Amino acid sequence: MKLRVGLARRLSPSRHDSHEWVIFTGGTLALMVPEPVALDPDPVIEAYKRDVDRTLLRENLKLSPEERLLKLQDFVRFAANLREAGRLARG
Amino acid sequence: MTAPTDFATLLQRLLSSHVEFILIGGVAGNVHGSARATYDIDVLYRRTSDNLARLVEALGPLEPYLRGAPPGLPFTFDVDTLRRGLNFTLTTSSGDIDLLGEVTGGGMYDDLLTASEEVPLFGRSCRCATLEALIRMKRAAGRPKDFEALAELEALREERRRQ
Repeated sequence: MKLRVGLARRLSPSRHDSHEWVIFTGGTLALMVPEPVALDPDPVIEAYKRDVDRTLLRENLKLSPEERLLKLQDFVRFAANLREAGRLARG
Repeated sequence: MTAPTDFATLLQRLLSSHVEFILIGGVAGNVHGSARATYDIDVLYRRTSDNLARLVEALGPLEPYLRGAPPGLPFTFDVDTLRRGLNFTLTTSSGDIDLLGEVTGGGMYDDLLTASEEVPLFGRSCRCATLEALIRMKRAAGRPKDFEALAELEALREERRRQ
């Protein structure tokens, strides 16, 4: 495949791909890996972080992954029951 | 009344059928220790023919249907349908599940594989995106509605490092 110098053809049509194959002049195939999303502190997120209740996180970290999932399940069932009770109360 | 999502049933069905998937999203965050409520399961599934067949075997009996779509659409949950689409937002008799072939900031199944870990769940091993990967995905999505969730995940990462 002949391509002009400096041009590359994208073979992956997906806009969400974390990488894409490109063909450079001369038919060289290369894997282009974009820089990962930076995890440097973000001032907006840092501001939100001040309101996080860390006691909840510390309690969760004492549990096993399965216990954490079952705890979420209990809450989701409770919320569903509460919604249903509210619906019935409204008639 | 809409039944709440039964996380255990959905995950156990996927694991029993040996579906290749990575748990992502809010449930994955909870598995790592997040305290935020979430009402559906998000999974990144591998798009091989064999795996699509396993997905149909696992979830087919739960009568998946397009979530929020009007009833009566000619939607059939089979391999052809999965092959023609990519990301599916479904409701089932065991609750809501999002089947994602690709996700912003995470790519496809094979891309995220190295940023996932095996987590013991229900006597089996379930592949779950790492906390770091969940943070990257949330950051990549860049949605204002995710700011609180992102702050909590980053606080969770700090708490884990302190332990």
